[in-house]
Amino acid sequence: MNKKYFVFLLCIGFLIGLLSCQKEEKVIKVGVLHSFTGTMSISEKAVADATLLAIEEINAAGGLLGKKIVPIIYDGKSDANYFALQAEKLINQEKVEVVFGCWTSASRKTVKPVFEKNNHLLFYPVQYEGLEQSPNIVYTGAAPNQQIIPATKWAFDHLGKRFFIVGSDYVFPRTASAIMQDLIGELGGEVVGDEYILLGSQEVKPMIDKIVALKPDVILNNINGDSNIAFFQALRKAGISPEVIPTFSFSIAEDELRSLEVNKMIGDYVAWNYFQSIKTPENKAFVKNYQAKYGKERVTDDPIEAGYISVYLWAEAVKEAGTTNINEVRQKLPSSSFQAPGGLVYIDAETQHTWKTVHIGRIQKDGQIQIIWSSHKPVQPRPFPDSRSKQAWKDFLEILYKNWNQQWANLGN
Amino acid sequence: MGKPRKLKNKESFFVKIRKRIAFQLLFWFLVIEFPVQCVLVYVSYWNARSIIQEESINNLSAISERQVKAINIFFQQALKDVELLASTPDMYKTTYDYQTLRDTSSIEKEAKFDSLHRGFLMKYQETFDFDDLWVVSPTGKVQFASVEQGMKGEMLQSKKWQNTTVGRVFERANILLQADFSDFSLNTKNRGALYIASPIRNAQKRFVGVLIVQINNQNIEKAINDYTGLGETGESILLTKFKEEALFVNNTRHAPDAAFKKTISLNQDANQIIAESLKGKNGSGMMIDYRGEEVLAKWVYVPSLRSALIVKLDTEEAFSSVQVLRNILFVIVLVTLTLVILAAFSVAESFSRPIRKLTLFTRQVALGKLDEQVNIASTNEIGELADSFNQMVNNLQKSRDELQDYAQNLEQKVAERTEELQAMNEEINQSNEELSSTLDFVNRQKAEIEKNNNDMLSSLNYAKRIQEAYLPSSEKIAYLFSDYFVMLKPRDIVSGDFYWYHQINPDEGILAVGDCTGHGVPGAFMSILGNDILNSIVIQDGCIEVDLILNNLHSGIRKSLRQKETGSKDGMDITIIKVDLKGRVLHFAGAQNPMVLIQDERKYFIRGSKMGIGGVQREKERIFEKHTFPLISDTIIYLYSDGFQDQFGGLDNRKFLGKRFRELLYDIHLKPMDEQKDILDQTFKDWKQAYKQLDDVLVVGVKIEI
Repeated sequence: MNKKYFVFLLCIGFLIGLLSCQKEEKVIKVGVLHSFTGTMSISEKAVADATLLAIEEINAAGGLLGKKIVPIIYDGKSDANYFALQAEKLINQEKVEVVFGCWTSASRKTVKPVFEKNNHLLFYPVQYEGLEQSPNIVYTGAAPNQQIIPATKWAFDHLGKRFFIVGSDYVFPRTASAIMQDLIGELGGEVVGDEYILLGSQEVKPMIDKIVALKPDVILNNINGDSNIAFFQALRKAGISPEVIPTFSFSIAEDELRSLEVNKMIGDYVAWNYFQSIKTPENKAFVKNYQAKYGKERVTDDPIEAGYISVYLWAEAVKEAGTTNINEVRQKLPSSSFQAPGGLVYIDAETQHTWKTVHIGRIQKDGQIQIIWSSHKPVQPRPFPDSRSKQAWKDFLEILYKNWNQQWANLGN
Repeated sequence: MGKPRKLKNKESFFVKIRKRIAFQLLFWFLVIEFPVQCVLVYVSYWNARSIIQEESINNLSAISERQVKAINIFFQQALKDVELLASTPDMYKTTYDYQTLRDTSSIEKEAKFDSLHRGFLMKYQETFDFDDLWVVSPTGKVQFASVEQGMKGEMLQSKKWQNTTVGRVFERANILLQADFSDFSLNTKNRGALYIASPIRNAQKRFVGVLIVQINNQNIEKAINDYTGLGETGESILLTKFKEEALFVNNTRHAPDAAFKKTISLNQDANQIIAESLKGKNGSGMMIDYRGEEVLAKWVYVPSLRSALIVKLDTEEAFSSVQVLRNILFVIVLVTLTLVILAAFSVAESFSRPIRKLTLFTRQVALGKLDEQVNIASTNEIGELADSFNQMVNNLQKSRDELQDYAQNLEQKVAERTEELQAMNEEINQSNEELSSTLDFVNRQKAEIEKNNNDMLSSLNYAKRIQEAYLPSSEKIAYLFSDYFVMLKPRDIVSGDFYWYHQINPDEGILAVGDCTGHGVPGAFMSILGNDILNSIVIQDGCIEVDLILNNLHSGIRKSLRQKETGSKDGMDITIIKVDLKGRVLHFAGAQNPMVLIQDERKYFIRGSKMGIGGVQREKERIFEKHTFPLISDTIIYLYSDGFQDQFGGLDNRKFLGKRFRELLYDIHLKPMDEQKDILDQTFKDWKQAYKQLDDVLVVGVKIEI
């Protein structure tokens, strides 16, 4: 009798174990891949913070599909190639459902084949040079027609027709410069200079000297990272103030202004799809929550807002699809929209970029931006400027890649 | 006291009904069946309704998806058409020509350009079915307007126009350098309008102006108003936010004149779904539409137009099949209920009719009518019960008859028995009287016996005193011995054991301890005889040799009891010692009985001759052995009869035995003599316990100090 009873208990135990093993996961793992160290950490850390804030808010509201979202945070170390390794780990080891990350186009270019190979999904939150359209990347930052082109046209109409272009020497600034030069040519303007420094370099003197010599009407600034600190210090030291020659920066927002001498930046120009000064109830709540979590001295800007809305857009698509399966989520992305702090945003079905409102602003003394021009409604993204054909743009990128020894940045070797 | 009972008759009637099986059965049938049926009907109805609702919503979702796609395709195509138009050489040439007029105000030149370009511009407008077409300079001046010619010359970047729909769409095309839509709005003629603006570029792709067209509203409606799959009441509404209201963009099935006229307030709670959908929230479910009707709806936000599309269907139509189901279920419930009630009554009646009959029959039986039978034609348990009842009544009838006969017999028997008992009673009374006189006689005899017994006891006690007087006094024995004890325990009142002492001279004395045959009175007589003969031998005849004393004692007993003639066996066992303190010697002789002597911790057990005193003599002369011991140091001597060692007792009811007795003497010999006596006395009591004392016990212990 005892033996039979023991066998019966054993069977029950096995059954319970089997059922336990088959128990469904109660969490959804997502990857957060940004530079927390190195030259880009100054910009990327704040974006990661906004991503985590959005995740926290969704969890507080009951989670997604009844499950808690768990962020798996990896450091890209401001190294484009390292980003690719980390992306691989997030996808294949951590088995995350989606990745929110990258800033520099170099890092995006290196991780793009990883996401395409694994049929995974990356939400890229930063304005960029366009010329790309991957089914495995959702671009929540501005495409060229949502920042570079309108800013250059506005500058042409209002600031002058002679332009000096500066930038960090990697794919975004080089491509942005090409787009700007095409446009300025179409408008009948003139590009008097086009200078670059290595990413992270502080060697700005040569370009400053040229600016002083050539006296352009406008400086179009594509420098990224903490190189901007050296650039503006040297520019101001050389006597180039916003009143003398205004600078239109494309990688400086409210967060970067915290590291610069704001009083020497007053009057310069920026173009984004979001400013902290936007007066909507959603933005008021967003700024309040962000500062409550990370400190009252913290500011919000376009990439930060894009990092935040990326999570919500993905969550909307997941809710519509009823699953985190990437193929099904991608199907639902075009039908997902979000009342973002900066206004309603939604994913373009054709390009998987985001419809975003365009704002041009002027830097104020408190480090905030005053909006001086707005599209007033979201603009359809166009990742390929029609100044050249798609093939011509692809050839352009290939030449850059080849010249940089199969890299997406000039590493200075 | 409680309230007085009103309507007594009715209440009684109701109480009666409540007690009926039919009522109770019907009640329980309904209690069990009705709720279950209601639950089933409810579940079925709502299940069907839920399924139909889900299917309807899915259908509406598919329709909305189709319509959104159609809308997007239409507008994207319109955008492309405008971009294409803006890139034609005709458009560039038109713009260029009009711009040459900016520094002049030549009316002739303007008229010339109008006639030159109006033709193809109007043709383009008609071909693409635009409501209007404007050519605008990069600075915002309207150079050409095909329909609303009053717009010509207006500056779209001026304060008048810059915040209008037209002004903004121009500004966007101007800065973004791409074609774009305006929001839905009302034009100058208060008609609904949607504009597309596109930059005009020359062959060198240089930006030279902006083309603005107004989309034909009817084309918008064609894209939206497709009622396929929407039954008789379904429709689609495209709503755009206009000020703080939702403005109808299209005419609808139920509001054929709604386009750009009808609005819904977004501030009312009832319209929250619409307000949320215009903020970008998609959803589906039940809602109240603008007519106040309940509808199933799917609402989606169309981002490209910043509008919300609501595809809906009246619930009445959606759930019409469910209503039919509900009605059918209702009929089924009624029919089932009716059948249940009929069945309950029928079944109840089949039980209660025979039971009523049986009840009536039972009442008759209770009144004593045992000659009837109940007739219930049923093969079930009630039929069996009826048969049992009939059987029971038959048995009752039989039992009653037997009981009556028995009762009659019993009376007669009781009378007879009563006579017998009376006779017996008289006999018992007589016996009682005889027993009473016998009891008196017995009581008298008892009293006499008790008196005789008391007289005998008095005689024996008197005899004991006489015997004790014969025994030597303590002073006599203490003269020779430094210490001594005598423990004499007669079995009866007088004893057959005795001790005798004679002081020969100050240094010599003779001590004897005897055990006569028998105990009690015969033993006591022997002890007196023995005492007298010893006095005669030792005191009168002067014989002081212990062995000779025994010899003469033996002869004396035989002679006194004429044992030669009679052959009686009476006599005694005896030990005798003579102590000579001066000569420091002790002499011992024994007839059967031994002596224990302890000197210098050496123990001696000397047995007496194996001959008693008196009794049968076969030998010519009875010679007793004499033993002599030197008294070289203090000596303790014990002389005793066999009464102690032959006593039964202990745990196993055995004899004490001589060996144990001697060991006891060895253990206590150094103690004071009176203490030794106490120990021997207590030991004897402890050994004997409640057993009867078998024989007289005599132990004499003496101590000789040298």
